[in-house]
Amino acid sequence: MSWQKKLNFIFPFILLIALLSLLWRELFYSKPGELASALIGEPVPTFSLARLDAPSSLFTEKALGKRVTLLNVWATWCYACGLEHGMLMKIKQDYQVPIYSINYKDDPVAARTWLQQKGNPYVMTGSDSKGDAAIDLGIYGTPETFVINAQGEIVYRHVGAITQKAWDEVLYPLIKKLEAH
Amino acid sequence: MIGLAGKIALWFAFAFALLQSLPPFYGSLRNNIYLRALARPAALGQCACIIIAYLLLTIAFVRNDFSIAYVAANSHPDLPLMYRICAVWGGHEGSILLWILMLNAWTLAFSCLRTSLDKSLTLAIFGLINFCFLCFLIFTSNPFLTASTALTPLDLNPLLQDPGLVIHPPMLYAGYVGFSAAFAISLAALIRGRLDAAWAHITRQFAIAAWCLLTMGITLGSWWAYRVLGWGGFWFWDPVENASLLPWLSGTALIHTLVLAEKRQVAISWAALLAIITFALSLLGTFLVRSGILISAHTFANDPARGVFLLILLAILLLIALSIYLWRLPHATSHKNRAAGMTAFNLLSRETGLLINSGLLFIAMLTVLLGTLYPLIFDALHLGAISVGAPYFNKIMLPLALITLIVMALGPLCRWQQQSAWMLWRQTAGKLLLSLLISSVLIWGVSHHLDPLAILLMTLSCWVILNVTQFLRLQPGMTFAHLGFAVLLIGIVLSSTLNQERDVRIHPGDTVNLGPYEFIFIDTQGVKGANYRGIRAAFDVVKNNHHVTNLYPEKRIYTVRDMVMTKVAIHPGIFRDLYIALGQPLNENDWSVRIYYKPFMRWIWLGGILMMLGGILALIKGENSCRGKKN
Repeated sequence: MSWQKKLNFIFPFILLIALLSLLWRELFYSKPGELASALIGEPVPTFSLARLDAPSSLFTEKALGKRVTLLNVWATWCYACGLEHGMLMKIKQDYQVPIYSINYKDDPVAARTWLQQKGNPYVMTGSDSKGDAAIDLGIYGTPETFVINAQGEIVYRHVGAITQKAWDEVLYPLIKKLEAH
Repeated sequence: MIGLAGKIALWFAFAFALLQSLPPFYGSLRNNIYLRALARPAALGQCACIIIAYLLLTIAFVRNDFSIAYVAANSHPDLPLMYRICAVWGGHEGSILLWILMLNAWTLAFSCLRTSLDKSLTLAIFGLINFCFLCFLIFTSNPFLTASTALTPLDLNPLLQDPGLVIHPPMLYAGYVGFSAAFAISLAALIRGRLDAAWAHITRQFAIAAWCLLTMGITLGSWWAYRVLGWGGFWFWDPVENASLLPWLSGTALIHTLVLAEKRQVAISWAALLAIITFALSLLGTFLVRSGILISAHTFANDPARGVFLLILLAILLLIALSIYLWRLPHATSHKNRAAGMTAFNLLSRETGLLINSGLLFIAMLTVLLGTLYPLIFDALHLGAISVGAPYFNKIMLPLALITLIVMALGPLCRWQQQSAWMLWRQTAGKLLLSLLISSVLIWGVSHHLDPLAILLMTLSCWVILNVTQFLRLQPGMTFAHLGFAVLLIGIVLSSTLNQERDVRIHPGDTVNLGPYEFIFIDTQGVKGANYRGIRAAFDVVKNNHHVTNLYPEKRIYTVRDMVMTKVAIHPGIFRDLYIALGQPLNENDWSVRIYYKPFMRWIWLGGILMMLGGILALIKGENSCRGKKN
């Protein structure tokens, strides 16, 4: 066999084996969006925070996971959170996706006033004044939003304010798909 | 009881699959007719066992036998009977059983065929595929496992409780799996070294049948998404949708290439390769969907063992197929076939048209494949995580669609072997002008805005239609299929450019204007179904002070899974759809509501149906085959 013939013979196999090994590797190692969050595919880490509206009762991870929810991490001192707020209200009103939230390293009084003035897009808010829950979630900046499926697992992490574009193109289709399952 | 009987039926099928594959294969190599003769009875036996297993599972669902874990996970006593029967394929295990059932149906169809091809060898290959999937079913996803503890019935996923589900998955699977026939026949022909006209003919018949079912399955899936997901889209470029589109694109290329192989003895090896690739893509699709490697609407709770098992099956089948292809190809295409009828052809000829077309479809397939696998490649190379969405696919499919349309418009007009460019120009230049006129007037008429891209696509689609209608008598199958594609594109272009939608907050008595229509919100009422309760809103739709229709969108809560569902109300029409999705109550009286006005929406599915009709006609008429009428 000439070189070229051998190559013609081997090349398709190389392609096929490359494809198969890609799939094999991904089967074991892939966490879709691994770098976006090490928590993707994992259950929401346990936390237990005082509720912002009723500090005597608690907001824990058990409140999530009955259906597809968003978990938003925000603070009054965060400029981008103010920009995002209108979008969150819109998500609540027009898309009916329940949003839970963690109020990160914030003053509960300021946070309550903020929600009274701007409207409250959240089903429930936990006050994480020390930032422990946020560390468990691997937050590196507010605002951040997690998409949590009905099994209480983190499916997606959105860093930064949710824009209409991100909502239309990524988050809402994803939520629809998760709800479809 | 049913569980045990079902397991026994599956094990019998397993034994039959072994009998169907190994002895006949060995017999074919050794020329032992007794071993070869085993293939057919074993195939029939296997088919009977699988039908029994499938019926048993159906009976378990009908009789609410919750001692079987799979039934408990996907059904509920309150679920209506029709959905209980469909719930058989509502989960992972049942879908795999359906897959195997379909594979057996195709095996049966092939074994009943009268043909000069090597039947037992083909059946042995069918048996091998069956054997692989039976292993998968029995060892990793047995639907007959009994529940160890009494399980609370979980009900069928409410999104799946829709008439669309009744026929969508079986159609899709039948199509998917149908390409196994083209695969098995081609491999057997390769081993036997007989890639001749008879092979091309039979393969094409099976490929067209599978293609029809797949086309219908995809169309129904898109219709289901439109009706159920509640935001008016019809195609989302979701990995699972792509997985069904991949074999469709490659199968379309296969059908066109087989015409060449049968009538002109050209591109034989390309056709055989396409037959293998098409089925490989069906398998790949099954793997992507079932392993949960990609996030998608359709992935079920998954178990890593399943992914590993499927990938190994995929590897075995593909490596065997590729080896056979590469080793046997020189023997299969050399000597007599070449000499028999292969003819030279010019650059401008129907041969070239068909080749370009299959090339374009193949490129389209690779593009979709790349987009689907890209997040995985990206992740494997540690480049970070990305998701490839609709913008990529839309952008990249657009030029391909444009070129395909041009080839589709000119190709059928060309003669075999050679075509004069001047004649072609005379035949069709007028039609091109006419279609430009039609589409400009139409788009200007409805939108008062001339979008160049929309006009370009419309013009080419109209051109295809005008050019192809003259073949209605001679080649009705091809005509309908091409018409369908053009209609589909017109539907996509017009519905996306002219679409109007509004998100509104309204209370009873309010009126919303959209397009030429007024939507009057009348009132809301409570409703109660067998396994859900909900609220139904009543809308009156008025156009120019004439009553058009009443629409009743609903919001439902499926009590068992505690899932809220939007049941949209649609008023379909040939030229426009009206679509209302009820949002959430904002307070006692106010509701958020989404209203869509979607012109030419139905054309998308009409296109799909026309394409399927074309396929059926081509099958019945024996079109484009040597036995059929010469055209």
